[in-house]
Amino acid sequence: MNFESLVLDLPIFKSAIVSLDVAFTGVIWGWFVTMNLWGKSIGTGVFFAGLYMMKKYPKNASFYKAVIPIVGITFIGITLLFTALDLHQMFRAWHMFIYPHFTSIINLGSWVINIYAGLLAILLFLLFKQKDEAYDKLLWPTAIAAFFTTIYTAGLLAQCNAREIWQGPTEVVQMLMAAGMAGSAVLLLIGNFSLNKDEKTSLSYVLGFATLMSFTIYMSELYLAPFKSEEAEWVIHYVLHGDLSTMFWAAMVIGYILPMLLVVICHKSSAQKGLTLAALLSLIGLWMAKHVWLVAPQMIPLS
Amino acid sequence: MKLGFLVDLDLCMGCKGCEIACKSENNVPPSIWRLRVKYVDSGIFPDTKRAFTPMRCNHCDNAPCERICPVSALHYLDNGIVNIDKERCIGCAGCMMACPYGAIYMDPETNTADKCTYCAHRIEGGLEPACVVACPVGANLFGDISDNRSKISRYIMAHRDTRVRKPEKGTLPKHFYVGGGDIHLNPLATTRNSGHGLFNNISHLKHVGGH
Repeated sequence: MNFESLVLDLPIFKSAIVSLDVAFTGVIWGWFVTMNLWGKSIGTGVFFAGLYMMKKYPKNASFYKAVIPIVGITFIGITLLFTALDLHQMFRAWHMFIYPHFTSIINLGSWVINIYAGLLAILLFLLFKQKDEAYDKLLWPTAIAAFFTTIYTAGLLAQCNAREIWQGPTEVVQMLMAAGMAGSAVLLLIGNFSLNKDEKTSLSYVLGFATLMSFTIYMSELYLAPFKSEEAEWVIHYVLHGDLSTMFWAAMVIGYILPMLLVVICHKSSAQKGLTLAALLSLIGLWMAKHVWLVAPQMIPLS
Repeated sequence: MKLGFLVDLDLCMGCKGCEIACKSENNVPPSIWRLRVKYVDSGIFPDTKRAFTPMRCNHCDNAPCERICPVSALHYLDNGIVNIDKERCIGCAGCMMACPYGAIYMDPETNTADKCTYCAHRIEGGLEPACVVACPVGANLFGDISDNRSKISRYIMAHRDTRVRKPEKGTLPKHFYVGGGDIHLNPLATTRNSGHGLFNNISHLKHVGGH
């Protein structure tokens, strides 16, 4: 009897057991990288949401003009800090610029994010110098840099050949929606006492739309049109039913379902106190969802 | 010239001579392996079988680690080897995320990525890789796969069951296996119990390299 063909054909096949191997390396990109993803969502999202509100409510433009560079540079700073801390040789970070490898999205991203941070710093300078005209002229180049800063991570994840669920084309949309969620949430929190009812309603629409879109994409990727490879199925199993399922579903409830409900309830009842809670919850849930998505593909053996 | 590797799994007896030769030749730190032989047990007593699979970097023609490396620390040599410059590496671990074979590790002593280089330093001096020399049964073959007359090319042509790991990834690996089944080459075809191994009890390596 050819035993190997027998075990390959029957369910018993999975009874093949690794009896000696090197230790499993585990999670390499951990919560430092989650902080990078989360901080970047806020750092660019606040720009997009702020720009939208500035154009829609020009009477209160001064508020948004102040918030954009201050919050933007703070959270892009957090992103860069955790990125540097995650490097095993952080004092060689300057190699990015003296030995650039332009096929690498990590390298391209480092240029883009530093350009965005530089533009935010110039906006901050122009704000203090009260040079409104120059500030306005710089907004659109900064918007382009913010856009590429938002999506470069999707390109970076797509280059990670070993982690298939990061390579989906929807990842770009997820990054943009995360920026929409985070930007509107931060503005709702910061403008809790200074924004009028209309402004809060507009921001809640952005928050509600981004949350709904992002949630729909997650559910589609996991249930409606899941990845089909064996590797991706294992990862999806970890997310939905394995060690990470509690955190994932908590993220979905805290960061997506509850904020969506609160936005609807506040809209129906014309009471806006719940929007602050919705904003806070969406920021917490976003961090958790990003963390699960980052860690899950690192939990399967590659060899 | 395009250097490639082949392991005849029907010949390999799991002696781990190649592992030790590699570790000794390249001063690989404890708990880390550039090349290792995985043991997989299958079947139910008395019909049991143990499979041995030596695993190392595949030196892909379309290497995702080279593409993602932001500072070109991972780079192609003219002979097809994917080499690494540890002085340039910033330790971002992008290569570890990109390599579908788990062949790259973070060296805990230098805090930089490292992997099998097909003993590029030995090849430069006209020698064979240390693991090839150490193999007592000649299960490891090494040579120019772009030359149809080379021993490795003829071996590949003569064996219709020659396979590579994860061809669906599109990496065009230059490391071939003869005689392997799914349990040899597909890590998801086997159960990986935690808590014990045959000769040791290390099942999960605490992340090394500073944090």
